[in-house]
Amino acid sequence: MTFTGILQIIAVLLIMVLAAVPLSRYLAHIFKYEPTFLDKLINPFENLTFRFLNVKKEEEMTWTTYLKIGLVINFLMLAVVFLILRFQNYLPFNQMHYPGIPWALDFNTAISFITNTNWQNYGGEEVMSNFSQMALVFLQFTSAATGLVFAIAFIRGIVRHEAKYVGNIYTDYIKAIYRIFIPLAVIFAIIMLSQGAPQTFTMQKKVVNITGTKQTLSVGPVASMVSIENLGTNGGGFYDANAAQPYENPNPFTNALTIFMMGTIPIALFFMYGIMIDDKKHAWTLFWVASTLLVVCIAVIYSQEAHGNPFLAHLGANIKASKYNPGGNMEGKQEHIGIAQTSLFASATTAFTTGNVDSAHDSFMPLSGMILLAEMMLNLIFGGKGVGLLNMLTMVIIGVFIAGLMVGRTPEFLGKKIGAKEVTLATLAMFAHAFIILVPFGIALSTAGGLAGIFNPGPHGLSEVLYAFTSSVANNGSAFAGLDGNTVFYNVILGFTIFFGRYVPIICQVAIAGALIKKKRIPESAGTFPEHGFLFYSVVLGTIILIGALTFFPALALGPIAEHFAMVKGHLFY
Amino acid sequence: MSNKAYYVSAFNKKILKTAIIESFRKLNPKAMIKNPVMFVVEIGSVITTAILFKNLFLHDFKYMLFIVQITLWLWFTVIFANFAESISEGRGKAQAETLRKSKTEVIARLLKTDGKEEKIKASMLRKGDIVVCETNDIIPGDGDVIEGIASVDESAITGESAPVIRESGGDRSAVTGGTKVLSDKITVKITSNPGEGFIDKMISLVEGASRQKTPNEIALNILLVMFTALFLVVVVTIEPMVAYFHGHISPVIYVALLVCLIPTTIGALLSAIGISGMDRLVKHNVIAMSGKAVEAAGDVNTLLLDKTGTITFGNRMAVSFIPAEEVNVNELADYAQLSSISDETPEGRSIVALAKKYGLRGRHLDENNIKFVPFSAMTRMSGVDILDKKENIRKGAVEAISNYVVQNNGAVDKKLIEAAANISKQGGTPLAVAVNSRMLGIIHLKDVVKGGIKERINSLRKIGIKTIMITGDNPLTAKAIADEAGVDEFVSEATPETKMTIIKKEQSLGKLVAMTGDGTNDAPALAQADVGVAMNTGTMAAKEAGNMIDLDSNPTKLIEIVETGKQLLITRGSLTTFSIANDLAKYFAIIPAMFAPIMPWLAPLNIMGLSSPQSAILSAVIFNAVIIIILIPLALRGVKYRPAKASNILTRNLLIYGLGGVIAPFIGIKLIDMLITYLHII
Repeated sequence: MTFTGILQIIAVLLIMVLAAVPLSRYLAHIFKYEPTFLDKLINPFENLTFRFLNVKKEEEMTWTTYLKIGLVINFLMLAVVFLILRFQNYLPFNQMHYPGIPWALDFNTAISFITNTNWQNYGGEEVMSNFSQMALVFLQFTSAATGLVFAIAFIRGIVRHEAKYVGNIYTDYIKAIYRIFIPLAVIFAIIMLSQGAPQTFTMQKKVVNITGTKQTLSVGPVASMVSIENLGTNGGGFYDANAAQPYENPNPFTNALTIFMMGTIPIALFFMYGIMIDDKKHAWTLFWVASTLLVVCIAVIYSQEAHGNPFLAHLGANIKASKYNPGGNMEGKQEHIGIAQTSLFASATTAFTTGNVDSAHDSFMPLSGMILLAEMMLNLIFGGKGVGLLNMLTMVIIGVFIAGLMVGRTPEFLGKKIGAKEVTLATLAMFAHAFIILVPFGIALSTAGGLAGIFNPGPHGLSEVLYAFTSSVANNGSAFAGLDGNTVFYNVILGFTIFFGRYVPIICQVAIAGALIKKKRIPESAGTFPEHGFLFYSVVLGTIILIGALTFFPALALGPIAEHFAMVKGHLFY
Repeated sequence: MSNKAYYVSAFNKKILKTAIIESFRKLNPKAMIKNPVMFVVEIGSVITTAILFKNLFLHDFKYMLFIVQITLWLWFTVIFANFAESISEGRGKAQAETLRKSKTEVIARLLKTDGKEEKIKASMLRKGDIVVCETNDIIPGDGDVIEGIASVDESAITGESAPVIRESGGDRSAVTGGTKVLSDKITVKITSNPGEGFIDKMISLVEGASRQKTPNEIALNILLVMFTALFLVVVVTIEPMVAYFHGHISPVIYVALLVCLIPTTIGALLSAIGISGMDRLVKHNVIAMSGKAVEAAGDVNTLLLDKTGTITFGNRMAVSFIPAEEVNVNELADYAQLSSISDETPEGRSIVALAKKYGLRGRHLDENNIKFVPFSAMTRMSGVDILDKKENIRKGAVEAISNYVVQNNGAVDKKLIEAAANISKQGGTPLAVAVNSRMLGIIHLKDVVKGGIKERINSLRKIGIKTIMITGDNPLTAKAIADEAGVDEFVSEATPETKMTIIKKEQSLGKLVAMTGDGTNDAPALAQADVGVAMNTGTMAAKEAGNMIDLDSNPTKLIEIVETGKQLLITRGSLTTFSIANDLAKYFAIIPAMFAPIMPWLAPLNIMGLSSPQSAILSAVIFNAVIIIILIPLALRGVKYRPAKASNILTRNLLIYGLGGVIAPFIGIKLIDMLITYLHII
């Protein structure tokens, strides 16, 4: 670890938090349906859309209607995109005449993009027409909005009391897309463009490079995809290599910018939550919980990577950092980005459930790999659009339910009593997350189809499979690599885990909102559980770590932890 | 605390014996399934037992000692859990037994419509029947006195030996079946059918026969079931990972891991905590109609306290003498005492008592020389005429005495009138004393606030509970008392409907309200309140409307009830936290041990340095079982509770049961491992 490295990491994180504060105010205005400075510009488009869709934007919905419409919209888009990819050979912008996507890969890809996962069992530039890529970009807007609107419904469930309605999902969707994602995507696409990312409808460009040889470059609407890919914490890049491809991530500045794009909105959502429920202290406490986890994760990864593999040192390689040598573990990393920024990027992409990668996660040190897994297993370190907040609040409900009794009152969450219904739904969401990771993971390990895709022997192979399932259920989409995911087995099973990993918890969480909104609010007193400050921080952090550790410890022990100790002992698996 | 006729202490031999038998009887799967967590442990025990017998049958004696011990300890875990429940039930059952004994068959004197009496068995009585009870009769059923007045011994229910007065009309008309008339004769209209009376209800309540899970208990049970399901998934999915490494792990070890991970500690103690919470109320001589009421007591935000009886003793007492200018205090005290010598009201007695402080002793007056003038509503004064001294001493309302003095050609001392007005302003009651035409001074009477009430109200404030004092007094008096007692709010000139209005108002703000009441006109409010404590001396209507009955009829007890409710919830939360926090250490014991054959590199995870894989697993299982037994007394007694701010209570409990719950098993498992190694039993 170097001083500059640490400084770089701190600077990027600090800038994100500083930007998130004003952004959160803007977000809160939008979802409280209050005027914002962009009204003059956006209102005409918005009203036109409402008229076109024949939506009464003021009409409020119960949580069931809200949820139902949300799911129907999702499934409709899923079907449409599935068909577009399947029949891309009949559709425009396919100069390369790529054939239709095979059904299993199509199934996997369509689900993956509708759920904000963007797990890619394909190399975009090699199989997708530009039309298909744009269809996927469309989903990158809507899937980000989906997580966000459900989080908004949840927040309204807390804010409102003895009420029935959680808002209008059409209005929330359209506002999210028109007022947040499109304006930001335009701005950041232009910045990416200025840094060298291509933006064209041409699919290939033949050039003569400096050595005089001819080279074919894959190009397309890259800049626009990269901006929403990260702003929407989607993570599905234009290129197979994502941000490790220089057109997606040309330089160290864009690397930092990408991290900024990924993290700022999720952080702002925590603050927005505080504004909307009118309890900033509470939201800031949760911010500190997530921040603590994030900083610890970054620290472990950075120290592990900077320290490097003792094996190599043993064999005589110089892995000490110096002026001309980054040192540490540089396998699978880009020279111009370096260890500090790569560690931050990897931690950010798993924490913010983006899944965009600028390095080979497979080549990280075992404990770094464990941290990446853990970030996705928790799926609440700010998380993706809305979902991270929802998962955090689910854990808060469980934590408050257990520890809240210790003040001598039946547990309350922000003044609402937590009864059997809320506990059932919250624990079900927690259980579903673990179940959908562990059971299919077990299935993969015990079937020929699952074992066939594993490239590496020993604990590392186990980690590769575990990573695939964790990433898909957490709707992250980053890959450890080292696993052949493009088989019928993995396409189908991962398609299902992504699907259920996304919708089961969300349904539970929106149902919690439906239960909470009906309740009376009990005023805070000296006798109520303090929902801010250090005590609350400890309770929430303790709950998260304990439940996370208890659920995944055996799997992590046999995967990365075993690999780490074997490495320390000098044991190789082959 | 008064003598509790039926309160039985926990660990007597008989209860222990019954509890041990019960813990085996409860192994019946039909009973076990009510406790899903422990049911899983039972299934696990059956599996390991089956493996044990299979190995015996196949003459496979490898690891036999290990499997035998694991199996035994798994069964112990289940039995310990059953024991915890049985012992908490045992106390209630024993109490019910004592109550039942008081319920012998009695003969009722049924009064027929033609006015004749007929002797029938009490079990033949029906609602609406009218019976007569005289000295030494046992009242045959619950009812209302419709004629007469009698002193009744209610010790069978309350444990209080002093007799109480029961009379027709008003708020003291209710009598309970099974109590005994000590004197006089009453006619009672029966209000309940046999088997549905108060004593029957009480028996079933303390016995826990009709015990239903409370809302919070249900929610907690769901949480525990979900955690159990979660750990089942965790343990089951270990197998494919082990198979991936071409390893094999015995199902015995999987069962051991599962049992250690699922929240057995709280699963085993949960119902014991609930039952003993109700039990602690019984110890305070309060019967809760449901566990839900006890839970609600912990949640109460607002307490409605009647001024009279709860905050003050209910009688005004003399606190000082204010003499007129030329009068000596001793002289005033002397005459005040004389004027009150025949006054048997509490006020009168308090004047005599106060006068004694001025060195005056109680005196005996020659009855021939003295004429008592009793109080009358017309004159609004009382006193004595001492005939040989020609002294007519009067004591009464200031206005009435002023008139009396003026009539006797005396003058009214303006300063005294001012002093009297001041007393009124402070919420006191001034009484004037006069001899013939001389007004001697003023006696300051005051509603005296019970000792220690201020501190209790303060501690309630600390735990976030608002107190509202309700009184029929005028605002001035009310304010004075409210200030002295330190209540947060007060309502003066209250009518019977006031309580209802306040309860509804508070509830509309999302608050839970507790109150006490005894009269029939309290009944609607008692029903509306979240915790309505009816006094046992109150009417049947009040008792039926409330969800708790205080057998001592001491309204101040509301505070203890709230504390008991809180203690119950804290105990539940603390042990749940402890139970879940324990898992971490068990992982560190079992994971490196169970994976040792396939992943020996995991040895550094054995941070406790346990001697062998088998010993590690066994130690974790033993710890898991033994901790239940160790915590039974805590579950029955409840976690220590002292009123404080929520954050202080939380800090303390988080440290003890959260952090302690993480650390304790590391130490416990290590100690057990050392013992196992020392004994060479593995």
